Amino acid sequence: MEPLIIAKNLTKLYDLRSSFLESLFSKKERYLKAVDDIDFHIMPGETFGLVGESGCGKTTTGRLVINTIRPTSGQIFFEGTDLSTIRERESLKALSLKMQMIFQDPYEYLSPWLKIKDTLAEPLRIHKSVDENQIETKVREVMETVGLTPVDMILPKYEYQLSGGQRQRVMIARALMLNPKFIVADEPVSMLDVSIRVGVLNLLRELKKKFNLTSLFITHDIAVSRYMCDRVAVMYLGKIVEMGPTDDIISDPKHPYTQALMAAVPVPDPSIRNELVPIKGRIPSSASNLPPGCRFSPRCPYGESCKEEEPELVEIGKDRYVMCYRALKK
Amino acid sequence: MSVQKIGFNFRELFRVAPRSSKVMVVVGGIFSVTLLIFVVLGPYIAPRDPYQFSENLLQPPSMNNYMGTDNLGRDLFSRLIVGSRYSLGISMIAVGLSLIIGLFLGSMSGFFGGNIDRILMLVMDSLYVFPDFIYMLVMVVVLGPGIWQTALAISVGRIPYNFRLIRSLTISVKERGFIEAERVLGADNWYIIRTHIMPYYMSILFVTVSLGMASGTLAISGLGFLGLGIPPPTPEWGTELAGGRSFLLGGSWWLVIFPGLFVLIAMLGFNLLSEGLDTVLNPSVRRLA
Amino acid sequence: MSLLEVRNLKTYFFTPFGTVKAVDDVSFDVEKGQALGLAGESGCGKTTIAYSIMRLIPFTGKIVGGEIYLNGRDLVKLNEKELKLIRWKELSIVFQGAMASFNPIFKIGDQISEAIRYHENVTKEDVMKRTNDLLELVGIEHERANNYPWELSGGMRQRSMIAMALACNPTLLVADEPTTALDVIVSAQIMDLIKNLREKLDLTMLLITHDISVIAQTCDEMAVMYAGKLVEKTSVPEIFKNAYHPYTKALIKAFPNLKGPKQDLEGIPGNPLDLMNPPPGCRFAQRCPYVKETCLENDPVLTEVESDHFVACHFWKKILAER
Repeated sequence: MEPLIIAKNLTKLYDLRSSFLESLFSKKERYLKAVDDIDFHIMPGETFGLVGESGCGKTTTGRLVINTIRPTSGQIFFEGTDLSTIRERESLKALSLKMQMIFQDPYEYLSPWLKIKDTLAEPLRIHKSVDENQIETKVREVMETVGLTPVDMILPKYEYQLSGGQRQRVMIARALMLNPKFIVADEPVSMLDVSIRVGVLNLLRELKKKFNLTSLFITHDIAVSRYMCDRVAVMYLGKIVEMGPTDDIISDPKHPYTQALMAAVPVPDPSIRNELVPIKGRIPSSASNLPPGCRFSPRCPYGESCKEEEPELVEIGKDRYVMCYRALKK
Repeated sequence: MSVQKIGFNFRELFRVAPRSSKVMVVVGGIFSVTLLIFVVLGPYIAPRDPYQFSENLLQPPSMNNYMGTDNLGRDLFSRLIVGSRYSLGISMIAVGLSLIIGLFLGSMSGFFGGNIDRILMLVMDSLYVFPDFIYMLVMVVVLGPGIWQTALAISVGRIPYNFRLIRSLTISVKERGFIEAERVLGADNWYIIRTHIMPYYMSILFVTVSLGMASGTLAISGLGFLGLGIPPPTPEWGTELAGGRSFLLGGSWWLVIFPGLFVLIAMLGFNLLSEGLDTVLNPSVRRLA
Repeated sequence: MSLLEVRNLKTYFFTPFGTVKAVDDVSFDVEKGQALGLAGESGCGKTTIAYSIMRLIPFTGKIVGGEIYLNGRDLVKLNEKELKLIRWKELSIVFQGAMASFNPIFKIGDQISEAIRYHENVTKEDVMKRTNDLLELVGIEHERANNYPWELSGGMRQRSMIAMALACNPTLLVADEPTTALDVIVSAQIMDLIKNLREKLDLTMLLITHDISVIAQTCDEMAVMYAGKLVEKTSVPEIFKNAYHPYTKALIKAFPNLKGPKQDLEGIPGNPLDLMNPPPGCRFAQRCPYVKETCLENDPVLTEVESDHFVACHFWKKILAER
């Protein structure tokens, strides 16, 4: 089976030079390497997770895959086609029929001047994919599927009249309207209350089964990625440091950063007091002035001097990758 | 603590607005609407023919002539009612013109940014340097007197203001999340501007138009007062006021007071309306006390 | 006598749409040296309680009933002058979103020094020394005192906020969501810091958060709030082992686990309550799996069901029997 999504040497740089004059006169180039030469693939029907803290590049990667921003170099292949070769407006529009996105903030990503029934009908109207008189039927159908009930009560409301959980369901429903094959979910539950999160996560799991959806699931919470994802990639400062089946990584994390992430997740069980991995310092403010060598080395608890050349992401087992000299040695 | 947002439900907005702004809207509304009725129906509701001479020269206000007569025996009240067609009517044309141009240029500039934006901002900023009255004067002198000329002259002065307003509104909406969501759904730029950015302008539209009417009327009356407006015998308020000055020392106070009163009511009406509407249409949590 | 005693606290907000009963008859105690975690989701009233204790309710709201005793003194009855003498010296607060609470145009060290100088009469050298000591206490190098807030990371700003809150050696520290908005690893470091500080300074703490894992890791006692009411309160080990209230139980089960076998999670059906017009009876009734008629009519009372274990639920006996 061929992967649905392939990312090859994917890189996104942002120019940090603060002014027009600086770019004219200063020879030094200052870039923010939001995504730095990463490779991954997503198989049809699987949920692939991107896990990391702020600044690691996961959100940018999500936007690159959904094609709202263009890579500085490297490629994204969707169903075998290189996304950067799709240029005409019509083809780009057709792409949105196949891949959709669910955003993190249900308070900002819904239009405040449309009623819910129009918000949900909008994708169908933009693409003229369904006759006007059938739109309402389809809208009701999808609302039932995502649990936006009672339907008649919700249809005439505006987004600000709904709760956070309901809004997120509207966002999910809207993404599903065009029957996409692939969905990028960018931290879909981090802005929701804890008890509401489970409902939305379970909904996403159901939908995946029901519609055989392929998805890219972005989160900072590694425990959520265990619950939702089949395979996962851990990102740090623009690079993938570890990748593989979720269960493998959770039971046997090889990269020190993954180990630190797992140790830092607080457990709702007072008898298990976390033993913090002694990881020093904090995430550097930008991936622009990186020291040579492994970018994690300033914080690595093992204090190895991997300071000459940056390690590669190496396959150490079936579909298991790590970017760490120490892990390779063992 | 659940503080509900209000959205664009007008009934709700009026219900929760503080009393002072409701009063402003009502009072301002009455004044403005009355004057607008004068504009539309002026000649039909005026008690006498505003151009009709008579022998009752310089009569003080009486039951025959509610606001007295001028030096040619014409009824002042009727003249001022019909005059609103000019003082207000031209203002309406000017407001409309400047709004359309400002809206078009501002939304282009705000939405597409880049070089279009840089050039337009440069142009508008340079225009903005001088007070709009200067442009009006220059244009009136160049174009000469007349209805359309005056309207054009006044609208030019207001375009940079409208441009900046629309542009900054556009920029603030453009960055919001739901716009990005629309793109992902496959919407193109024109659809987004039509469906999601235009409604945002509605919220400031009433206020901008109201304010524009106020300043436009003042500008026309000002020009008229300086003798640069529509030439007599057209009963424009400013011109009437200027004409009435000569007779003030002779005791004919009504020739100055009443034209001024009309200007005052117009200014008050539109300003109160815009001030009140602004508060009503833009609720903020701070005022929920 | 406990350090903090909250009795029948009622804080309401008055809006043109109606009255929001944000905190509706809540009572609890915090013993000296203890840490109480106040848990609940958005809109449950926990932040309002923190602000009520600090007497910092915005003008749209008011404490309409109840007492708050700090060392025996009722804070509700004090006026601004008297409160000024207490704030920061006997109790202080680390606000939610603390990172954004610093004045961007002053250096961190100066802002901490200001807190000291405002409340106490001290010499310049003393202030400098104390500021440096405070920074050291929270794990920040002395040189950082000369940095502006924007030069520090989120974690460091949070530490600085904590330092500022401790500037005048308060007995009670209120921390409102100290780890939300921080990355996982930094968040763990802050929790570690809080634990250390409690030990070192014998600090009494009221920690407010929606993340009960944080409470599990840092607090002695936990109180759960729902829609303005207190529904359960007991020690941390007890509540995670033997929770009575259906909401508490559901909350504990709502976290995906990292260790052990993968479990299917169950969410809580329904939506949060509208605090403007709460229906009569138990506020959790609409979403409760045990709901019966009496739940829709009668408000449950906080009852001591075991030693030092309080629950507000009509059917706690039934839940006990099910164990």
